[in-house]
Amino acid sequence: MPDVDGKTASIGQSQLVNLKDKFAINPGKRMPLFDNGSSLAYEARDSRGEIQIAIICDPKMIARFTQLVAYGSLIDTSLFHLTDHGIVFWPPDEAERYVLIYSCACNQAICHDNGGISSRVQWRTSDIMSVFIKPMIKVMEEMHSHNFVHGSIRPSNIYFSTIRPKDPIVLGDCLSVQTGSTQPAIYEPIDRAMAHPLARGPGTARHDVYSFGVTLVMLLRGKEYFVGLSDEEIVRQKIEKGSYVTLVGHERFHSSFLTLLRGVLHDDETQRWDIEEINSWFDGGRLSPPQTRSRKKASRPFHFMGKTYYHRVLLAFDLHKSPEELYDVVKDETLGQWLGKALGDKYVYERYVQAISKAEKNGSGDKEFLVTAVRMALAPDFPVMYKGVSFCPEGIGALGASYIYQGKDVKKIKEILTKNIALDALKLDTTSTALPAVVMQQVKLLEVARLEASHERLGSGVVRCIYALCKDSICLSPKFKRNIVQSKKDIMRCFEEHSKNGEAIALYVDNHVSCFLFSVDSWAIDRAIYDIASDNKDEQIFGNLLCLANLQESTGKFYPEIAKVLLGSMDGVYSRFHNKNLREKIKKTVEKAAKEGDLYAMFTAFDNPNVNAKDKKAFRIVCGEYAALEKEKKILIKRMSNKKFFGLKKGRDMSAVLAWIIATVITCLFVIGFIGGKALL
Amino acid sequence: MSDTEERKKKKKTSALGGVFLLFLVFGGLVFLPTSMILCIGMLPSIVALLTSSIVTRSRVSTIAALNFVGCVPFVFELWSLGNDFETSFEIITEPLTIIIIYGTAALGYIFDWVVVGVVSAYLYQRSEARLKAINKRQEQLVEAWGEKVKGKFQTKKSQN
Repeated sequence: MPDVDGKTASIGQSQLVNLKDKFAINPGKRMPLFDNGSSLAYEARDSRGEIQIAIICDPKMIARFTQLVAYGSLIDTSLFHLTDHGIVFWPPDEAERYVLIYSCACNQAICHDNGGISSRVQWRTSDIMSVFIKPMIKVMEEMHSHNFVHGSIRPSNIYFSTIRPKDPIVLGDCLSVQTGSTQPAIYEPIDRAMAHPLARGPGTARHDVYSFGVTLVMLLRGKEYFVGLSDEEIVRQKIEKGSYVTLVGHERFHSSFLTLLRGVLHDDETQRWDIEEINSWFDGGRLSPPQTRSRKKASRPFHFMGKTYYHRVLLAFDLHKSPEELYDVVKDETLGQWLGKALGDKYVYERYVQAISKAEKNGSGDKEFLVTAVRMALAPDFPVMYKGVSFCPEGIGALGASYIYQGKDVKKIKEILTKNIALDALKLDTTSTALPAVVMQQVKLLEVARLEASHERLGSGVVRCIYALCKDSICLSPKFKRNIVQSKKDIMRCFEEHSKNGEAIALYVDNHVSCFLFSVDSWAIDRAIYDIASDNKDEQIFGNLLCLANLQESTGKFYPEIAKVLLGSMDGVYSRFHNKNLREKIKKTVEKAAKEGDLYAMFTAFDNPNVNAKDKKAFRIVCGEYAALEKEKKILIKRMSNKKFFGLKKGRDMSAVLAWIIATVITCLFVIGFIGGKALL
Repeated sequence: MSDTEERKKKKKTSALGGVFLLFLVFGGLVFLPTSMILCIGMLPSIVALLTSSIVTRSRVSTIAALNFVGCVPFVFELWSLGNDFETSFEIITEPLTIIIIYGTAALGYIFDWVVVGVVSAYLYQRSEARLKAINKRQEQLVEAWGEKVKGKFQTKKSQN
């Protein structure tokens, strides 16, 4: 493994894992304080012996590789300092893992949460301002100015030093998992809290602001109020009463905090305070807290599943629990009448009518789709619910990637994409504060995915869509079950390693690898995919050679083990050339290149356009010559089959000519003799 | 070639033949003694012509050529002896004359048989050599370019 660290060294009883020969990670020494969900923290030491935090990324949580550079560019002391990162072989899992090395002097989280708060640091209000709020504002300002979303702001991921308790707090890891995927539902806004943790999407700055608000509430609260409440119950309360009322309730906080909390916990994302407004509040500006718009209440209740509903969003929240009953109320038009008359919201009613017609087009018997469509119509800012999967449209890619990693069926993801569910939801959501360019990009990707997902051929289909929608995903090919492949270089490294261990065959590029390459670098696979997807094995091998040669070009390394495997399977590939001498010549060139591990040279031996054209032209000529000879042969054989008459005509003609020559000569002699005789007389 | 053109050509040929025959009859009447020797002398050729098919027309030509050679000395003899009808009759009624003239006609038959045999044997040998050369060249092509070079011929074989 040339690039993967993870050489293990035995020291005492534990085995140390080395990263780039700079850090020694001790798999036996856990640091559970710094865990981020299932991405676990271990003790690491740098070359000077200083303790660092090594977070081993759990592949199913889809680490945010694309954000590593952005995170590295953040300059703030209230963030874990990312010292290094890379791939190591992790002995406890007997597989490769991505590791993030952080340095941080903190040794205590401000709260531990196991569904609720078990202990917390006792800070006075002034301490909260200086130790928590001020650094949080600063760090959020820094992050959001770089369009970076933390997504893991919660008390258990905010640290301080017990030695210097008055020092500003430090935000923990956020890169080892997708944004919001490890957040308990209470720290997420209503919409994201309802979604599958991995399908919450990349999030926006205002989602961080909300998490900051909830964290502040937790710090200010003195008792464990939410312990024992399920996520669903918390979300239901938030929907019914609003986040602010649910979280703050009748607590007696300082009035200035109440203004701040009212601003940052606003459920309408567009109304929620941004960092500038928080800054103004901190600087003592007189900001009026945003007012909560009263929700339209129906004039009469709607009965569903034995409950009564006056608000559309609460009804939307429960719709998925009984698709059959929903089907009935849609069919007998009671829901339509309630929305149109009792609720009296014409926009909602219009959306509902459109949803019903869409559901009918999709197939009137599909009750699950009906739930999805009606829920989208009633609450467009809710995450989409389809067949039990709740997701934000921007998070569908990460969810799909996680499904594939866990070996789950991605049929539902395919349906979501082909039925345009995610795209419709994205277009309907008007409350998002994501950058327009980001939304546009997402719409474009989903539009492409709608067409692409239904394809079945190699290098396309739902798998390709997932890689396109989740740029953070590693390559999830079964070939890389024990590897972390997040770049072209990694692909080549793993293939070389597999070839060395005798685990590889010449058909390296499978559906996942090709789909991943389309997402990472389509140039490497574009030309090769037609050969790779061919039914002919030799063409498949040639396609693999072309693809791997392209990858080698971009890595600039030689891969002798891959070359050896390919060389052993290339007998049929030489038959691309018609001329045997040329074939032998090319075979020699390929063998020479394979010895050096130069895949590109191997490929170019086959891909000389002049040689190819000459060979083809010469072959055409030779074919013509063969055919002409065959024709001549047939005529000759036919003539020679009757030996008795063969050459008879020509013989007689020849005989006649000769006879006349003789006759003429003799006659001339007689004439001469006759004239001569007469002259003498 | 269209039917009209063919008919025109045939008409032209038969017209030329008619003119030639007219000259022949006229010449024969003018040179009656010579014509008598030639008519009797060339009888084997006339018989051969009448009994031959279009395929064996070349053989008639061979016989006629040598038959004519047999007549030539006696025609010159006639001309040297006065070229009259009586001398002509004398010459032609001589048995040796007839033996010589008809002997040369028989020689024509033999000549034709020998030359045809030699030529056809030579041509057969030459064709055999060509066949060998073709086979060799085809083998060379297959060796250098593979079975694919056979193209449709290969397919037919495999189908058989």
